[in-house]
Amino acid sequence: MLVCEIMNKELISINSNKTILDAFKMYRDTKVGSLIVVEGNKLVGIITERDLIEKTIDKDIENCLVKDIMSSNVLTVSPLDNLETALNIMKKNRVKKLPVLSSSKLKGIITVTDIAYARPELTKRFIDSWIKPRWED
Amino acid sequence: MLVKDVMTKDVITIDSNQTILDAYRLYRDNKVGSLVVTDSEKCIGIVTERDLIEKSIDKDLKTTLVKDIMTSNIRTISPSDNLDTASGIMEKYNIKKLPVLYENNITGIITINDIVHTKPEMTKKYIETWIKSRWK
Repeated sequence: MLVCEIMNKELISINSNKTILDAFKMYRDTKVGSLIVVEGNKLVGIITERDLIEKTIDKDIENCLVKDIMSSNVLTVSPLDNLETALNIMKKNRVKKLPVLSSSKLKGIITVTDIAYARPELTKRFIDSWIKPRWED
Repeated sequence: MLVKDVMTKDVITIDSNQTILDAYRLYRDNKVGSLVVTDSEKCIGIVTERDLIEKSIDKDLKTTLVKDIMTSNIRTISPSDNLDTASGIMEKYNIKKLPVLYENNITGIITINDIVHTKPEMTKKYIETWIKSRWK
């Protein structure tokens, strides 16, 4: 099974020059777990729930920008990669989400949950690798 | 299998009169997904990641109190209840976490992740009920 078959095509993205307050509002209004950060049409980062809470302490959210708290150097996959490839990248790097790029263009996002849903036999590994370790850090 | 067999015993609690800023720091330093809110040792609410982000917009983190953004009227469970009872309550109320109370004292917290980890056959239902539903 390929990434393009199960990825989410509706991406919620935010420009890197928007404020953290804009990110909070977008997070609230769209009910997503992360925001893709772009400059023009180019992917430059990602912002997770944890970034929004941990990195905003002591910051002025009306003036501080998304690019100041985003995680950059984001790992990505191609729509034609298979699920094992995506899962291995996630596992190796301890990430749960991968933006999907084709010729540098954003096509979607794939999460470890999408993979567990398509391949339930991988779920125990999913929870062992991504959920439990967080509590033991 | 019973709730007490799979629950997390190290619950991070915060007093309802502490500030949101205190909650942010506790969340950051403990790497938990939620904080249990207490008032004189009694469990009176819960604060999730989503509460911390959504409900702190336009609020002053240093003066707004945890009790102003917490979710109250929470569902709880007993350590000697079984897992099906716990997942049934979570499904009915579309929630993922239940504080575990023994004689009104907080003794742990159990999440749907804990339950699915023990019962992998619940995976598809788990994602449909607790994960996908949020996106709609």
